[in-house]
Amino acid sequence: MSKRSIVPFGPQHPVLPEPIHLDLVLEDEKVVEAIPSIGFVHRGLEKLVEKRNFHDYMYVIERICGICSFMHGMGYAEGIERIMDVEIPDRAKYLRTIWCEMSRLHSHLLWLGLLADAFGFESLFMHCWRMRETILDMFEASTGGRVIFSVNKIGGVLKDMDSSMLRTFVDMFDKMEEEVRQLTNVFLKDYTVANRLKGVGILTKEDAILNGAVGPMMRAAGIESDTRKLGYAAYGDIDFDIITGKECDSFARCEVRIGEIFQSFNIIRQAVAKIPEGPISVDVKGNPNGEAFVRLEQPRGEAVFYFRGDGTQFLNRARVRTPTFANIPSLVKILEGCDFADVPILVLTIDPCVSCTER
Amino acid sequence: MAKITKSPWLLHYDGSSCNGCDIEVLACLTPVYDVERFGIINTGNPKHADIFLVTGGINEKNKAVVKQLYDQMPEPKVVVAVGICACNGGVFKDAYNIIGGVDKAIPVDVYVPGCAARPEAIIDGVVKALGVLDEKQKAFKEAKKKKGAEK
Amino acid sequence: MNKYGSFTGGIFKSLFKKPATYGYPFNKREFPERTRGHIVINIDDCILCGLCEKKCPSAAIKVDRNKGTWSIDRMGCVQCENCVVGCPKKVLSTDVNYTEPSTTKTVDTFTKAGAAISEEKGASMPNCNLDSCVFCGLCAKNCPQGALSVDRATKSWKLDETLCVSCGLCVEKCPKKCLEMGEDKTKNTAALAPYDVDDLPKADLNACVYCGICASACPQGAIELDRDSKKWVVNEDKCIHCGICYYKCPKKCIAMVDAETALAVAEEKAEDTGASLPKADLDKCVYCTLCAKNCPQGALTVDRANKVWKLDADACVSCGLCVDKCPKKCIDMSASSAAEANEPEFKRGYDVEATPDANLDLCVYCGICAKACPQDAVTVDRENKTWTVDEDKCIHCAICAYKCPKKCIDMK
Repeated sequence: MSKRSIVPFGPQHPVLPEPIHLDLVLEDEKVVEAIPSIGFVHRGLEKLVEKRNFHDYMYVIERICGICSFMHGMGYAEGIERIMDVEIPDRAKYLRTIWCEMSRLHSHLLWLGLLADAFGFESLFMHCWRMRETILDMFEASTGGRVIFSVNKIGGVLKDMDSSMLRTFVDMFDKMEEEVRQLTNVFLKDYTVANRLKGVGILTKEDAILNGAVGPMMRAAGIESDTRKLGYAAYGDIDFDIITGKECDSFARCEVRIGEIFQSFNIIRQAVAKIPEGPISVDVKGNPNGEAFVRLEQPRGEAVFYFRGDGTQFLNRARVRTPTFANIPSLVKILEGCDFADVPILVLTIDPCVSCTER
Repeated sequence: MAKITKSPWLLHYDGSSCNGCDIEVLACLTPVYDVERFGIINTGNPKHADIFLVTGGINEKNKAVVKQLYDQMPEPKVVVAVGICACNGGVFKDAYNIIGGVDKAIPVDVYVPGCAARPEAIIDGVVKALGVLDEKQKAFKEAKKKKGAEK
Repeated sequence: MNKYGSFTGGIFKSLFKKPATYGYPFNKREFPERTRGHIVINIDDCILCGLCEKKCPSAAIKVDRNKGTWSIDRMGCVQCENCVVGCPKKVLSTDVNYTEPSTTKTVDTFTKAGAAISEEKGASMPNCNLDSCVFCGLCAKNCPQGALSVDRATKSWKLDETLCVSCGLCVEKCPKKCLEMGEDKTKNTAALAPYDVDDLPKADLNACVYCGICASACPQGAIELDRDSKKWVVNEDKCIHCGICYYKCPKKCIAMVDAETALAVAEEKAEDTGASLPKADLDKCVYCTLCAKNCPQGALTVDRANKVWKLDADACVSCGLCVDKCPKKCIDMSASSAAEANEPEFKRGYDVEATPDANLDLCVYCGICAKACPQDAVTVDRENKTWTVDEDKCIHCAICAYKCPKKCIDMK
C-alpha cells in the first residue's frame, strides 16, 4: 500500500468560476476520500428576511444565484402567494413558465460550455457560450436584465411579452435549435468526449437514492422524477416527458441535460401557443400570515422553499434547500475511487452552483 | 483603446457574489465580447496576473483568501471590484456574514458598477485599470531606479 | 458512432460566417428599451417622500427632506427598479446606459429647487374630515405604503403614522375631497361618524320626495318605499347600519337615529308647499341626458338631436338630483312653474356641426372620452395609441370634450 497524501482543491481554482474547497485524500493518483468544506460565499441572505419588507425581499432572494435567479424569485413569489391565498392571472403563469425554461436553456448551455472547458475542448466551450448569448439577449429584451431579471412580484410579473415579441423569440429558438443540435452532436458522438466521460463517476440508482441526489444527477441514474410534473405555474397544461439516463455515469448526465435543452425548446413553443390574453398581475394587500412549502425544478434539480410569516410586513423565516446542496453527498460518493485528473470533471457534472449552496 | 500598451493577464476570484458577475466575467472571454483580441488572458495563477478581478463582497471566511491572492500577485498590480457587491456589499450589505465591499480587505483601484455588471462595463473597467497600471508601473520603475542609484 | 470529424462541419460553417464578436469598444452597443442601466430622476416633480429610500434593497438612495436633496450611490444601486415601480409620483425612470466604471465611488445628488426651506413640511400627514368622509376606502387602496386602513362597517379611518411618507396621494384620490395634508391630527380622533354604529336611518317625511334613491342604494335592500302610497319603511333586521342611504339622499332628509326613534310611527307628510322645479341654462347645456337618466321619476326628456330639454312638471318630485348629476352645472331649482322651466333659450359655445378632435400630443389614451360618448362614436386604443371619431355616429354633443381629464379635445 502506498502512502496517503492530502491535496487541497480550491477555493481558487482555474476550472471553477466559484470557490469550493475539497480536501482530497490520495493514494498515488487515486482519490480515496473527498472532504468538502463550504462557506466562502456564505452571505446570510435568509436572515435578511427579517430586515426587508416582504415585497422588497424579492430583490434579495433573486440574488441567491445569478443563473437560476428567475426561479428563486418565482419560488419566493409562489410561496408568499400560497400563504396569502393569491390566485395569479393565467398569463402571468405562462410568462413565468417561459422565463423558467429560458433560464434552464441558458443554464444548461452554460454548463455544457464549462464541461467542455474542463476536459480541454476549448472551441466547444466558445460555441456553447456564443449560443447562450442569444438567450441572454432575449432576456434583456424581455426583462431588462441579462443575469438578474427582477420581473417577478408577489401576485404576478412586472413585465409583459407581447405577441410579436413572443413570435420573434420562437423564430429565434427555431433557428437556434438547429445549431444547438449540431453542437450537441459533438458531445454525443465525438470520441474525445466519450473517452473522458464514459464510465467516469458512476452513481448507481441505489446510491442516488441513498445520497439524496436531485435533478439531472438523479435522472441520469434512471430515476424518473421531475418536480415540474407537480404542475406549478403553467406546467400542468404542458405536455412533456421526463428525460432519464441509463448508464449512471458522467456521459449519461451530459445526455440528460442535452435532452432537457430540446425539451425546453418544446415547452417554450407549447407555452407560446397556449398563452392566454389578460392581465399580468393582481394587487396584493395585507401581510402574509402562515407558512408554505414550495418545490420547484431548477436547472440543477429540485429546490425547496419554506417561508413563514406572522402577519407583519417582515417574514419570520425563509429557508431555501438548493439543489447543489443536495447533490454534494453524491459528489463525495463519485469522487471516491476516481483518478485525480478527473476531479474537475466530476465536480462539474453535478453542475455546482456554490452561491446557491451557501446563500 | 490607445491606452492598451501591454497584454494584461487577469486573475478572477469570486468573493461572495451570486455568480451573476462571475458568468459575466467569463462571458467577456467568449466570442461575443472576446477580450482575448487585446491579449487579455484569464489566468488561474496569481503569480502570472497583472489585474485582479474580484466579484462579490467580503465575508469572514474569504477575507484571508482574497488577501493572500493579492499578496501573491507581483508588483505592480491593479484591483478591479466588479459588481455592486464588490463595490460596497450591495443587497447583502446588512447580512450578518458580509463585512462589506472588497475595499475592506485590499485596496481597490477601479469600481465597476452594475448588478450584474455588464460585460461592456467590465471591459471599460479593465481598460481603466490599464491606465492605473501604467501609472503604477512608472512609479514602480522610478522607485527601482532611485534604489539602484542609492546603491 | 461517427468516430472522427463530428466537429468538422461546424468548423467549416464558422469559417465562412460573420464573426460573432461585435467588437466592443470599437462598436457601441444598442441596448433594448427595457435594459436597466441606471436610474434617472425628474427632480422637479419629486415630492421627496422617501418611499424610494425605504424600498431600495441595497440602501443606495438617500432622501433628505430638510435639504431638499435626492441622492443615489451609483456604486450601490443594483438597478432592481423597485424604486421606479414604487414611486407614487412616477418621477423615477430607468435609462438604458450603464454607469461608467470609476476609480472612486460616485454619488449623484439632485437638489429640488426651493424645497430646502420647507422644513416644517416634514411632519405633514393626511387628516380626514370625518364629517364628509364616506369611508369609500379609495385613499387606503391608493396608499403606496398601506398606511391607511378604512373600515366602512365601523366607520373608522385610521392612519399608521410610522408608515406614512407624506406623499399626498390619498388627498389626490379622495373623491369627497375630505382629506388634507397637515400636522393637525385632531380631526382624525374626533367622533368618527355623525351617528352610532347601531343607528337606523329615518326619513323626515316632510322633506322626502320618495325618489327611491335610498332604496336602490341600500346594499341590503332594507328600505321599502312606495311613491303612490307615500310609504318609507326601513327593515330593522336587514339594515347593516352602513349609512349609505344617509349619504345618498338628495334631499338630505334621512337621519341616523337610535332604533326606537326610527321605528316609531311615521307622521303624515305635510302638504306640498309649491316646490321649486329644475331649469336648465341652455347656453351651457350639452344635452348629455345625464339629468334625464338620473331622474327617479322620468320627468325629464332630453333630445340631443333636436337640442330639446323638457320637464314634465307633473311628474317632477323636486328631488334636485338632476341638479346634482348635471356635469355642466347648468341646472338649478329656480323655476316655479312648468312654463318657466321649459322656457326655450338656445345658444351654445360651438358650432352644432362641430366634431371633436383630440390633441394627440397631450392625449394619454385613458379612454374616458370613449366611455362617456353616448353614441360610441369615439374609439381609443391604448396599446396602439390611436384616437378616432366616427363622424357618422357623432351627434356633436361635446361630452367627450367636457369629460377629457387632460382637456385635449377640441370641437372643430
